[in-house]
Amino acid sequence: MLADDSLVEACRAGMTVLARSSSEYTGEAVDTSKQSYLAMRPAVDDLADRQREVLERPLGFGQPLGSRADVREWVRSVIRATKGHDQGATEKFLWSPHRLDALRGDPSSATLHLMLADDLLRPMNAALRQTAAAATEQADEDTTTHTPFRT
Amino acid sequence: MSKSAQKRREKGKQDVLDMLHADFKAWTKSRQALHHSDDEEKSYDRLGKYRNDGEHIYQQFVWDDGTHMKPMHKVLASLTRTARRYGIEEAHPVYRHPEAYLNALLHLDDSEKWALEDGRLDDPIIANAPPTRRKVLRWLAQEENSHVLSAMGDGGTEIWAHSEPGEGKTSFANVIGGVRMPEVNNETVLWPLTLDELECLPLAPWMQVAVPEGIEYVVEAKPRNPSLPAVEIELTDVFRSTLTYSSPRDLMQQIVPGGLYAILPDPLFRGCEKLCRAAFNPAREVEEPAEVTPLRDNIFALLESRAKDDEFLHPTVIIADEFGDLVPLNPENDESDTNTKVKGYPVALGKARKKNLSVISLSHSIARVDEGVREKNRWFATMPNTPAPSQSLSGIGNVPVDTNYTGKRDFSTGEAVVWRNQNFADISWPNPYRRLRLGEDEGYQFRGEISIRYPRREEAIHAL
Repeated sequence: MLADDSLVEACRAGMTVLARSSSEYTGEAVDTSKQSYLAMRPAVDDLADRQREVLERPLGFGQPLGSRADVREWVRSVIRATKGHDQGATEKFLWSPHRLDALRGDPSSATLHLMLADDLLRPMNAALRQTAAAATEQADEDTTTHTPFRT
Repeated sequence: MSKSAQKRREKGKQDVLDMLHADFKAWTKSRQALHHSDDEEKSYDRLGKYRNDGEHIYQQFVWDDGTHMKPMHKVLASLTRTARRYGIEEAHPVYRHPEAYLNALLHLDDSEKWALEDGRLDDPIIANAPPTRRKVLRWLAQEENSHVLSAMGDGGTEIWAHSEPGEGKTSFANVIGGVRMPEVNNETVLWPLTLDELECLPLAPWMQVAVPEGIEYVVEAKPRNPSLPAVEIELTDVFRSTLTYSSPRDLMQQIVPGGLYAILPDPLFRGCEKLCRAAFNPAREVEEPAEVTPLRDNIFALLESRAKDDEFLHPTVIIADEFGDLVPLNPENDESDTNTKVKGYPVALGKARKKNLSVISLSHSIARVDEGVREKNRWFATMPNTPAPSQSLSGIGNVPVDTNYTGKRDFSTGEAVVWRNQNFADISWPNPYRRLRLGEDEGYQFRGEISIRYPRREEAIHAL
């Protein structure tokens, strides 16, 4: 297990992203002592939930992936959980025989764990980061989709 | 000093000079270069078959990912393609709101606008423009870009970039003013220098440096690398060539369309008092140190000459660095008539911009500047880590971005938001200090300062 000390720096970095992009309540009084959503963001919370479900299924929680049809269905949930920025993961899952076997095989296999970590964690983190950082943009639709103009 | 130490020193000096010569190998094949070279009897008009500097400069600048800067007409065409494919709503803000940035960058005069509106592309005014400009004009004439064309004003524009030091103002001026404007407008660039450092250094291979007549000066290159010595150099070790001017008006008679000029200030301010109707006091003529007029005040006279003398009417951009010091808030009515000069600035700017003069101003603060000057300025560029000015600041008009905008967008150096009234757009530019050496794939190496001194002026000030 990672010690708390090792995680503090990551937490701090995450907080700077969230704090920069969180909006403040300005209207009616809100009880801020109870936070029902992760990072006070329904969208981030929802995405994190989806990602947890995606990872849980091949790991033996929930319905096992028995057939190709199950895998196809699961891959669709991967797409949703990565907001489509899957960095090639879904294609690999659908077309690589090793991956198909691993997904349908023993949920405790180290190969499967390694594969899921390797293929999914990066795109999932990217999707989370993007969602977390994009939260302010509702105020300004212009700025959500465009990088600065390369003059 | 021992003989071997002296030898090492000489070697170090030679290394610095060699580096400078490789880094600042001058581009001599342009129309402007040939016009200003003294070995041939050639006039600008007769050099029509040569390319302009603006068609060459952008090719030497590269993005961090190694790709070259694209010509503007290609960048614009890709904006149109995106709009065509995904709809105007998805197009880049720069394209959807041309008032925000394109209008400030592209300078059209009314006759060009008319020809474009009528689709008269074979009109000589369009057909004879340099290729990099002509292609941009043709792009403007396309039906689907008509909203851009109709947003274009005529005359010059002014963009005011503000931030703390080190956030990209100088590189903004280099790339937008020194690279893009010459490319798309065949703009003439006037860069008045401060003596401490040469902010226009990346552009030096294309620049003529204008030296005040009869003034003694010392140029020194001080590499940041501590193992290299400071070396006294010639201006032409970095700049393409020099020319001598005797007054702002004389300078206006010598410059040509599409030329880039670094201007050393005249410590004697010849011709300035008459132009500005205000006092300019050279160090050798005063009794008290406080009475000496700062060298930067030369800019006022330059602007007045461009506004009134009508010697030169081609699109011109002046880069005004340390703008906050030039036109401060509450200017004093001192021996140098700072108050008169500052209050005269917006008036002169108003006249000059009708005659195609543009200004890129650089300053730390927008608030600490005279209100009349602020009111005259139309475009602002807010750099990273810089709060946009508050709406309540007098003379600023509407500020379309909130104070924290650049922070929220997480801008890094080389990115900024350009805005005017209701519109804003994010832009980015390559780091000019990574410009390629001419004829090589390598970036230029010299890092450090090049400073210029006027020994006679220093002596005169010390003597006070």
